[in-house]
Amino acid sequence: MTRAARVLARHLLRPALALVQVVALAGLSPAAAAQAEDESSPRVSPAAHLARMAAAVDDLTYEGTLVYLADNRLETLHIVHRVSGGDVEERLISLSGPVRAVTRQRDEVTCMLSEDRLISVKRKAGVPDLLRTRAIDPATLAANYFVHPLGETRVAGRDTDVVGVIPRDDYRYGYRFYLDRQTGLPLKSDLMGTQGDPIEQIMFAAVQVDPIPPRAVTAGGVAAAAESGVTPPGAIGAKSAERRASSSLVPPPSAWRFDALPPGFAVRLYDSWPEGPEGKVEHFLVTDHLASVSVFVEADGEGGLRGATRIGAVHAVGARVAGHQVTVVGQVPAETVSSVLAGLHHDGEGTR
Amino acid sequence: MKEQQQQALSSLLDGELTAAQASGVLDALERDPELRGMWERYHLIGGALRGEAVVMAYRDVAERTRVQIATEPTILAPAGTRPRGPSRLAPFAGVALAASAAFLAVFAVPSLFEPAATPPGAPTAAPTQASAPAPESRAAASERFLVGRPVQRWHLDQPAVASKLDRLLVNHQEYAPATGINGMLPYATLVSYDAGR
Repeated sequence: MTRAARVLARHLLRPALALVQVVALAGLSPAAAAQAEDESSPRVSPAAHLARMAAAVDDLTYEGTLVYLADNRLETLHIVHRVSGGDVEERLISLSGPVRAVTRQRDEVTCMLSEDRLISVKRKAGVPDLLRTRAIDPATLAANYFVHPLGETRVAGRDTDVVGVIPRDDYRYGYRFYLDRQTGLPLKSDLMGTQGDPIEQIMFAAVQVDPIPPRAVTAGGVAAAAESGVTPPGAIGAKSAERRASSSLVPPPSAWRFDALPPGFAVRLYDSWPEGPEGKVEHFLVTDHLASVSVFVEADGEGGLRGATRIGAVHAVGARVAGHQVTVVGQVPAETVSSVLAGLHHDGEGTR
Repeated sequence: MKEQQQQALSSLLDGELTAAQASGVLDALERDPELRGMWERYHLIGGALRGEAVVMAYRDVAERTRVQIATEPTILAPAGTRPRGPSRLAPFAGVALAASAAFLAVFAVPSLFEPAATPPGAPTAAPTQASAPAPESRAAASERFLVGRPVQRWHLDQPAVASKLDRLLVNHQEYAPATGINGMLPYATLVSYDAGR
């Protein structure tokens, strides 16, 4: 059995067992259950589900209460996602513990953390927006992930179809999306660890979706569009996503290079900005179109991270490389951030 | 009903209600803690959107004041020294309303709070019975159950490095591919691990 097959089996076995248990409890044979499923829900491919999700996430106005579970931590959060005149406004506010909030408007995100700590990041004009939205494109992801239907269930009182985005190796996490059958909105997302267990889960406990979506997307319409290659309203097709992605694949104007990256990962964005009197920060975004890590290189980076650490499923590793502080951070397994750091070299000095 | 109240609350916040309408909403706010929570959230969201910092210490000022007033003895002032009558009060109705709104803006805030250092119900003095555990061990046991214990963010005992990593993570997330509500997941992580447990 190949490694990819083992990974697939690991991710599929648990849901399959769960389905068998549910079927047994309901007194149905698996064949009868499958037939019932065929009759109750229209056939929509997982790829079409993901395309529909991408459109729903961006185009719908919704508001609800989220439950977040990770590392034995349970948080409730209130999310508001509004689309008005093409502009998206998003707010996330904690309902338990100290007040913390995240707001995102256009190209700026502000995090208000406890003890009055504010983090505000404004995306620079001219930096490509290629990865901001519609990132889940099945054709683009196929090299590194399987996209597989995983059944159906109810979340927040609504019927959902479950779609798995299953990594082919252990360099990236997987996802289980529970997509609202009516709107395509992901009502629950499980971040799956390399052992096939959920390591972070976020779920709507209650959600209110704008009854009149700006762009009506039907399952049949998206499925047909996906088959024909025509981009449905509000969605970016595979070719478009690929074109936008490849347009950023230019050698960054930097003395730094990556000799070896984990399979499927590539540098797709480069940016730099001054920091301190004479300092400069260089930022490389390394991604497989879904999982991503950022590499920050600081010329004047005293007091930075040494060694590895993590917060939830986000891993980080830092070291001094050629006299610079290098920090690698991203929502990927620890092995991935370490591999990215190991692959970084400075052309000038070339030593670490 | 609740939806109507939410709408009314939103209108009150935007100053779109008449005095008569506002009076009804303010009464409802006074009665309903859930509405007060909502009022607080609207203000927090508005403040966060405007980039205003929320000073934690200020948030329970109104509640402390309310408790103080409720527990203070009533001062019996001589009655009938001021003229009374609705016609004389009318010019001040608007001011009173504004004061109520201002009070409520603060009053409603403190429902979300930093847990107290000593949780309610925690023993304030250890029992001295021979069979009871030693005071130290009970205190240690309470410590383990304490809500809001400080945590080492990023598992680091260097706050400056942890804060720097927070900043880098937010920067990273702004450019990383977004995947549905998972697009907010790293923020949920950041927010969750900032709470302390």
